[in-house]
Amino acid sequence: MPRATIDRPRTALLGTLAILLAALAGLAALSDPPLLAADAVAGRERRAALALRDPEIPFFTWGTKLYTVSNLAPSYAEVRYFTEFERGEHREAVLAAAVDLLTRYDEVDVFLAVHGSWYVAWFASLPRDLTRRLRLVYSTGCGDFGQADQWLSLGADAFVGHPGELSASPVFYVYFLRRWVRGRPLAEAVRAANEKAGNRLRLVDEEIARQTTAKLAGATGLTLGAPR
Amino acid sequence: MTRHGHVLLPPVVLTVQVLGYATLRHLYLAGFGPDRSLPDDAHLPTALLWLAAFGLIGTLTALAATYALLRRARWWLAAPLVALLCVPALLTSLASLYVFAGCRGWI
Repeated sequence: MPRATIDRPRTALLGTLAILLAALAGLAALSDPPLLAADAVAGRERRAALALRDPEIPFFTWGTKLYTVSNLAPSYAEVRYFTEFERGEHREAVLAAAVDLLTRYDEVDVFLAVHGSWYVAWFASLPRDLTRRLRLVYSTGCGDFGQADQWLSLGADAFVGHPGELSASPVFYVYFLRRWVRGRPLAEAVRAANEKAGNRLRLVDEEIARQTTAKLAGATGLTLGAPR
Repeated sequence: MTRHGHVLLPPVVLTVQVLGYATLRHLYLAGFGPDRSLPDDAHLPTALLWLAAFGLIGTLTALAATYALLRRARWWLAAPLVALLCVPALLTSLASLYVFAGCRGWI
């Protein structure tokens, strides 16, 4: 009785392709599916972004700059990014950049990749006719949602922050920023990022997932492309 | 290479991964470590270059090694090498390409 033969090259090719497809599917499931850009570029010339990273380990600092600047740059006419190696070391430079941007652009968004922050006090020292041009302020800081009223009273249209004192905010930030710069409405971006981050974090710890949930104060209908 | 790929390629996969992590470490320490030698303007281009290069080379070597092992190696050698070396290398390399594409705004 003849032995059944296996076509090794064909089997190897199919096996390799199957492994590649499984890896791609696993990656998409574990990370974030591809997002199509909406009208994110509309009105780019009238808005700027200011972002700040406070002291962290070098790898996180590297990753924050890579992710933040490369996502913001296509959607804003100008992006100023600061990395602190000691807390508060760039106060004067940050405020000078803020004044410059708020003077020259109608809308300025602020992204704070920080631990519990005092930066609202910095901005409170600026003239109100400038800070009223603040539009979206987002902070990763644990418990920073408590500053929402202060930011709104400075003139920001909306504030997104984390009420929890043990918030794994960077997980939320990854999902949130991608959606915001692609023109998703702010409330939708926050909801989707909360859902995605929650799903991932619940695999690790239910309590951290709960505390990471971000809240939105102010203009929920804000979008990147629409004029104020 | 085709005849001996199942012998030669797994060490190449391992070398690419180790060199990739070593250069990544060098990159972020040069940019944000105690001795910051990399200028601010170079942070982003070098990071994107690393993501693309590591992603591409890592993916191709991992796929080539997987194919060679499945084609020529005995099952007791192919199974652990594919599962413990090639698949993790493929995942980290594809993740690198995915992050690169995300940072370029493509996906």
